[in-house]
Amino acid sequence: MTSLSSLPLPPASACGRSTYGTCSRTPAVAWFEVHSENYFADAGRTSRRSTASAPITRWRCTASACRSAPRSARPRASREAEASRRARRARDRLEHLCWSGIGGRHFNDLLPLPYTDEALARVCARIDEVQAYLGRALVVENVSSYYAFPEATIPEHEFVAAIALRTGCRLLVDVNNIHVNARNHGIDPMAFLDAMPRAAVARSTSRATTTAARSSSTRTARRSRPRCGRSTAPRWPGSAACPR
Amino acid sequence: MPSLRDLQHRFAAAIVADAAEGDARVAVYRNAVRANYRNALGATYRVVRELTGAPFFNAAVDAYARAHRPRAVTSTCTAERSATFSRRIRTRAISRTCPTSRASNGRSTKPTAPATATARRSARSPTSRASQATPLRRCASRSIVVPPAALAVPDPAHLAGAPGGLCGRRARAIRRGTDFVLVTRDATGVGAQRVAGGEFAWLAALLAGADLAAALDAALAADATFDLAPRCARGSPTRRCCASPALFDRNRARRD
Repeated sequence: MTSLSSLPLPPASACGRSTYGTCSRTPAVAWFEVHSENYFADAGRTSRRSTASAPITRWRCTASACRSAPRSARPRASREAEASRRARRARDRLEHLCWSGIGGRHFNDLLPLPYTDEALARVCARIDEVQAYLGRALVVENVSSYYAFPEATIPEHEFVAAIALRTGCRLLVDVNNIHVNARNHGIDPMAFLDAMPRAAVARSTSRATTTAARSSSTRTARRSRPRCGRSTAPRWPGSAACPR
Repeated sequence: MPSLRDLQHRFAAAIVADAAEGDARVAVYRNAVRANYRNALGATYRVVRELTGAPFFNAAVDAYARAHRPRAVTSTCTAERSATFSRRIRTRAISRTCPTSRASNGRSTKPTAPATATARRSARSPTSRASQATPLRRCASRSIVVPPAALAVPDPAHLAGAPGGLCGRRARAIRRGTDFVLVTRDATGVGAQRVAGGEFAWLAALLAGADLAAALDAALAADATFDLAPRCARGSPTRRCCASPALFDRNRARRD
């Protein structure tokens, strides 16, 4: 197996937990990125180990930022509460701009938002709630979608920008997701990138899963760097640079 | 203009719908959600998936997800470590879809010894990979005992060919007719080990409520060379009791 520490990682690269678990020693990376839900059951045991050597970024998928039902003030399960306490000490706390459940049913997926005024108000309220709990700005990532609600009244890029401006949250601009949405919904990816408030962009990234998507998404990513400021190296799931 | 809640309910209903009709873009989410459920439960119940086969296991997961909708992310990502999945699989649901076996929902029922169990072969599907002479029985709350006494394995790769073997261990070949597989599950996952007929009879009798002497008799009846000592040794995965010296003497006398 290739030693991760021997790979020429850019200093701004991150490392997925699955790769870190196979390393005999800590690789020289800027931070670790963990998928929070995978460690709720173990109350962050792995996170303790990696936090000692490098900052950790909690990357959560299913907090359901646009859930319609009101969220309870405190997490119900003790393990999730423990994970939340650890998340507050994390370097960054990432969340996706999506929803994952309704009516007591949870879908383990990133479901698309209807971009309406009501959804915007709901998402902003939820982000405010989470930021107040964490005591820091949340980092919100745009998602790829395969379905666009015909009832949507706000373009996606205006929706994302409005959230950043209203709540003060930061943005993780996933260029590959923009590329996917451009293909699926016919939007202009450059217009999307231009609409992002540069001061709110924490970083940009690109995670593509196919070779074709990598090449086209990389082109978009290169063009996005002057617009989005700091940018990490493109990270591909399963590649040597940053598998996840 | 429908409300946000209405839009989300409508979208959720389209995801959980069984029919393949409707917007193909919604089907992307429908398939992804189902695959997530199957992968999450399959990650913990690896042995069950290998034994039953992917078609049955996936059908069982789909039925489970329909009947017991996931309410929190931890229930899917940690694959229901509290055993609710195996506990809630109903016999009827399995027998309808499983070409391999039937399971008893043994939450409150005591299992019977395999010798007294009714031999029932299931040949409900042309894609059947195996059949069992006795139904799959969960003999304890934390263990599953599978007696594949007549396990027919037309394709050995079905059981032994998985990368890394069962539960990450080296896969054991299961011979036809004489062996039993003890499938156990604890906080770390599911494991399978082959046990001899005598040991299986010993465990089954104890789990059925028999005393040590009767369990020993059952074990010796199944296997005349059954040795009690390793089963009672500290650290044995099948250890259930500390037998008295008199019982060891009896075992030794019977074996001799």
